[in-house]
Amino acid sequence: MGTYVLALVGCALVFGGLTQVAELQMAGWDPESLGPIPAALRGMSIVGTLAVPVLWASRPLRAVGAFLFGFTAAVLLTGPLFASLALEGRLPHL
Amino acid sequence: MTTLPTLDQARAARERIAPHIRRTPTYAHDGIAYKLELLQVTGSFKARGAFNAALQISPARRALGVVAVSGGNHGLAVAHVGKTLGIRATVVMPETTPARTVERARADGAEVVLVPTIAQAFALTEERRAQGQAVIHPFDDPAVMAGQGTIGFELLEDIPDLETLVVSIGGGGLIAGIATVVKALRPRVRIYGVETEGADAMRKALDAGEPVTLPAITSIAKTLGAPYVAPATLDAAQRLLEDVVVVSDAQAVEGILAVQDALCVLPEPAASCCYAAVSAGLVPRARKGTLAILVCGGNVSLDDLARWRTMLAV
Repeated sequence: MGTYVLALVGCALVFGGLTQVAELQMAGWDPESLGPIPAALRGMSIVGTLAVPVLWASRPLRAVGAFLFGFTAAVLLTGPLFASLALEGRLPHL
Repeated sequence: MTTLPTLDQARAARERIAPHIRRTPTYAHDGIAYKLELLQVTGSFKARGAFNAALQISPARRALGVVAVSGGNHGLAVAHVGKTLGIRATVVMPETTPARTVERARADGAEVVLVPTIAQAFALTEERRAQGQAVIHPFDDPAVMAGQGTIGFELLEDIPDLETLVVSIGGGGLIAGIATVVKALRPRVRIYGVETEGADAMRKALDAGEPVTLPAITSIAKTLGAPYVAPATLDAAQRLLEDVVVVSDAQAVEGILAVQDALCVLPEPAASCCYAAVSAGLVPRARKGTLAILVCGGNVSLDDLARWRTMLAV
């Protein structure tokens, strides 16, 4: 239980913080061109915060939890970069 | 406090002012793209913001007339707007304004009031506001900034690989509007502001962390001569610009000669200072994309140029 609570608090802080940073970066960007990207990042943050602690608390699934933690953090960190590429038309239109 | 315009407000401004302004061209020369806004009606970008602001004034207030304070270009633009839209325009100018500018504003039907300093001009404008006239501020107005920001759309259309953009700063309305648009659509474009020594209100405000009032405008670039920047434009500079650099008057005059030599157009020092900043290495060259300079105005006479060359030994 302790592991779960610690992981939950940690994920909320890390993913929540990364989402805030991403949203600040994208604050003045064209919402039309960004399309679903901001919502997708918020969704990713919530799903990661809920799923990673459960996996982390389960010994056999801890490796999956660690992978998901890294994956979620990477997506949140690189989200604005991909969003800027989308704005420049370098990604398929969203 | 005045707020910055939104991207949607700039889009609306573009549609609103389209019948009244020119879609100015962009030409490339020697690896630099030049947006020739000096070919705009009245010879500078100012018509964009003035039209956007005036077109949003209610008919009842329009009947009372509009008033503007200006060191030159904004006054010419408001006079032109008044003539085009049938609004009585009053332009308050400092006595140092070139006679040619005063005559052009009067020729467009504006009432020109000359006062000793630009600070007194702002004070008189506030008096007129209290009497009910609508004020078209040269920079501290979201409608004006949105109008100037329409240049950003044209730049992105004309230069798909825009990497670095160089824009001069007076009160900051032009660069705030353009940066709002460009950064919203291409966040990775790096935008630099340029001022001349003696008209460097934004550089001083950035250093102080708050708007600073200059005791006097000592630069020859009188059209950059806002005595202070607005909190909103300072906010835009802090958040959206890479840097604001300052060049000397002599460098600005050398820039006039260089741009004239390259493009066969005569920019004013408030525009050529951008070229001066690039050629002096104060603005880094683009690595992969294009570096663009906004040539924001060309209200300069050959007599002025000759006088400056003698005075500054250029």
